[in-house]
Amino acid sequence: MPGAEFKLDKDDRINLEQATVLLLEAPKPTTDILAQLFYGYGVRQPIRCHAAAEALDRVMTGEPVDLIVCDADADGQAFDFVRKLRSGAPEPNRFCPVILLLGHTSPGLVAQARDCGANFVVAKPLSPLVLLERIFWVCADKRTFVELPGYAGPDRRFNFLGAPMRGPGRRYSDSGKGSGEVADGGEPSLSQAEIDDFMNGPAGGAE
Amino acid sequence: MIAVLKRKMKPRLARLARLPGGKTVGAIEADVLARLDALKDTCFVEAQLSVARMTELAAALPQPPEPDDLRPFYGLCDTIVGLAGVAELAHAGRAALSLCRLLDGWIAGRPWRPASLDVCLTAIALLCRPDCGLAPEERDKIVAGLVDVARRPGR
Repeated sequence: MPGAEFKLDKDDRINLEQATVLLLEAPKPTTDILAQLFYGYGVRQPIRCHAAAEALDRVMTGEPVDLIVCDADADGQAFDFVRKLRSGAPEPNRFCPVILLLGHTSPGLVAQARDCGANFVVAKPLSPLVLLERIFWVCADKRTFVELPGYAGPDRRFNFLGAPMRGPGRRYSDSGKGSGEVADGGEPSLSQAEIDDFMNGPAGGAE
Repeated sequence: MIAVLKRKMKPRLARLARLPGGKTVGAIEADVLARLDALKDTCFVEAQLSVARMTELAAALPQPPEPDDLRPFYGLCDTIVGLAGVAELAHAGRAALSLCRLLDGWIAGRPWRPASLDVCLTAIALLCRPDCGLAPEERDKIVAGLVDVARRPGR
């Protein structure tokens, strides 16, 4: 069961040689980072796309893809690509697990990533092991795929709601806004653990 | 009444990943680190170029800027954040995230403070330099200062 406490062991074995992985990359050297990670994971020939339209064409062919990893920085269309994948791609690609990579992880952006139908969000800079862990999580993800007007993707509900994401409590004064000291600027970036809670719940997913 | 279709999915990846063969996590880690090390110099140069591009953009900003004038900074910050791990520029990456937070605030309508942008860009440029001569704890202090600037954009 994937969850916040799920960690990889050095002796765990994974075989991605036969997996078809599509990478929607930003057209920069960061692209090589992503591709090299997947070569290192053992993927023989990742499909590398540098534009959302190119990636969409590929998934629309119906040739099965096992995992899609999107850099949200890729021509600004990654969210839209995932939405179109979920609503319009032929099976089985419509249900393909999607991992979205974000640099700036404000709650608003993470919510957008969740609401476009991504399975997981991974914060940059990429840690090879964190990304690999999320691939394990994808393999063990038990969430139902839901389709309803305006949304298609993994079930966004989870059972254990837990505490609010930031701050010691829910009162107005707990936010610091009442004190006049903290004039909050933009939204803070979420840590990887907070992103995981936001996407899948503190227990690691819906049941 | 909204019709909700639910499907229980078992990704094919789950079956493939468990096929015999493959690599251990330890072997993967060693392989990946060697591959990323080979990209280090390229990433470092790209980070410098992103800083230079941000400086150019900042110099050309109208006063006050419109949200669309500020949005290109996000992409460049994201580039620096993305490269930070490989190019060993972790502090520069954190500084770039502080700039993103400032941008969020300005785009949301908070008062425009050009000095805050200058401070952030100067700090990012400094933290991207290999010869900046700063100890890690000094870099930490710079980043903490930027976090404070981003948290209190009105000061």
